Amino acid sequence: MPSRLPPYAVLPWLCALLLLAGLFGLASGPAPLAWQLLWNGDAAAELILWQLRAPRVLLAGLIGAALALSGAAMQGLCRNPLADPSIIGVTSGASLGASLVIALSGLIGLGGALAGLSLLVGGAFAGGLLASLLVYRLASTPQGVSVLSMLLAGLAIGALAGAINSGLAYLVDNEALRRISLWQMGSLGGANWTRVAVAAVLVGPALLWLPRDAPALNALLLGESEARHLGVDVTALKRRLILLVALAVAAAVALGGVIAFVGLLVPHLLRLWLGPDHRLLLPATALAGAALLILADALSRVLLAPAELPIGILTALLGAPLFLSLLRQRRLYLPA
Amino acid sequence: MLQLDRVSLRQGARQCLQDISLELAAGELLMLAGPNGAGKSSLLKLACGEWRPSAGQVCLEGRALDGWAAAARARRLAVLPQQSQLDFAFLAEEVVSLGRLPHTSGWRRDRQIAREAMALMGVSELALAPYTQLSGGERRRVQLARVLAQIWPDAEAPPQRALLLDEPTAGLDWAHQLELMQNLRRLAAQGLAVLVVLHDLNLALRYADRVGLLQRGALCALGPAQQVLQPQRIQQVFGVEVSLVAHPRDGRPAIIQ
Repeated sequence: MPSRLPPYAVLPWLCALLLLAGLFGLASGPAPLAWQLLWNGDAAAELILWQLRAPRVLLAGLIGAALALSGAAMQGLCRNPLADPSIIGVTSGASLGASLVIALSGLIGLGGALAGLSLLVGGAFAGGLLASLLVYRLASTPQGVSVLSMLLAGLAIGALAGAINSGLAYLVDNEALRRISLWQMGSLGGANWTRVAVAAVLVGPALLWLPRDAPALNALLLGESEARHLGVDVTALKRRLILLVALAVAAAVALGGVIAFVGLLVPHLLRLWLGPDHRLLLPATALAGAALLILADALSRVLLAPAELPIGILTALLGAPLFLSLLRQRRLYLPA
Repeated sequence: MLQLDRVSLRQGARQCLQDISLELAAGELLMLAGPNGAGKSSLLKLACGEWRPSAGQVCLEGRALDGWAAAARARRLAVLPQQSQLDFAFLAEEVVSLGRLPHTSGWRRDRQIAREAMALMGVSELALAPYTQLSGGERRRVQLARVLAQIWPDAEAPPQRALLLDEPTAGLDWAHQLELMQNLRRLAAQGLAVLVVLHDLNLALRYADRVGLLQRGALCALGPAQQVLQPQRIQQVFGVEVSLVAHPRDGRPAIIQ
């Protein structure tokens, strides 16, 4: 058991980290940005900063916070530190929605580039939300939602969506196939202020509400009946968590594509350092997830400049080895 | 303070519990005994509202369990299930503090109560150990401290409180079993209503005010421990031949095989 960090020190540090990540994100990109130009009111520099980088940093922050916080909440709900927000089928549903829009726009020539892009976001969001609501319905019984049924239904719906997705990829032409697979690698390249506003509206409820449920989530870790005996309305808690997470993650996937490992890794890692108390863990994961995705997005812009590395590739490349190393020391903090 | 009024429980085709009436009074230590599968844990689950009876009703202080607000009920009724699975590395003192969740007594008072409950269960020195690294018996005592903290006698606590324990001595060594029973005895003397599922008939004989004996889903005997735990009835319910002897030290009755 690695010794824990003292709680009072954690949140200020993470806030500072988030601030630094934001500045780094604003400062990095294919075009060098001289701060003197900004100071002198250079129009091009202002355009890059305010219309390109600032919305991108904010969008990355919102999506990272949404994914990490949702991951922490789902791990608490499932009482399993290896759960992921995508287990409720939201990611596979969103992928299917996005592929459908791409395939249909190729077939019947829907709209221009701009309209196609927002249709894509809408399709992915609808797909993600519908899939997770379907999983939720399937797992609901008169006694409440069974977490095990939810995992199984999520797997089945995920497999179904994956099969339809592959079928679509098989049917469409090369251009659409490329767009489908690019979308699935994740990118924040389409960031603009409208998208930031949409993300804020859809992710906001989870960011504001989930931390309030921290004490109830702590009790839930003891077991569902134990939480009930401690006065927690477990049925309402589950319903609230699942709906908030579905909304936030569907929005995150729709706006940023499939971004691997953030929802799994950030809460997992922080739990190792901070302990499982959700009162600290939930705000900490939101801050760390935001900082991590802002940094990853900044890196994705500069590593292959002027081209961009899809951010999903980057997070998986960094996340998988880190995760494997965690698994190897699993005995340190988990029962065998 | 906790009344079970003619409760029955049917699960599918199986009649688990049949027409049981039982009243747990304040200040009483009532123990439930019976063979495996007799319905002891099921009865406890009905008594705490985890399951609903298929007939009859359960009342806490005269009001149906369903009629209580969740937190208000949790301030009056604490439950230790037979097994608890906690795979997250809370510190032992954090687990105990979770017992204060339904209360609004402030974190200082909550911390103090958690410490007192841990001291009572002899787990004070484990306070900063991760729960996942504790032994089975230590985990059990930490969980016991948690449910004790939940109904701790406090100025702001409701006057009537009940504690329901499903085999609390399982996994405890001999000394800790006796210590636990003595503590329950003391808490009952302070007015707590205690309902315990127990396998050790000698502990029941020594510490219980009343014993309820369950057989195949029916309450076949209920009364003062020495009246209920007669050799003939034990043989009829458990199928084991026993004798009742006077303990050589204090002359109190003890059961031997």
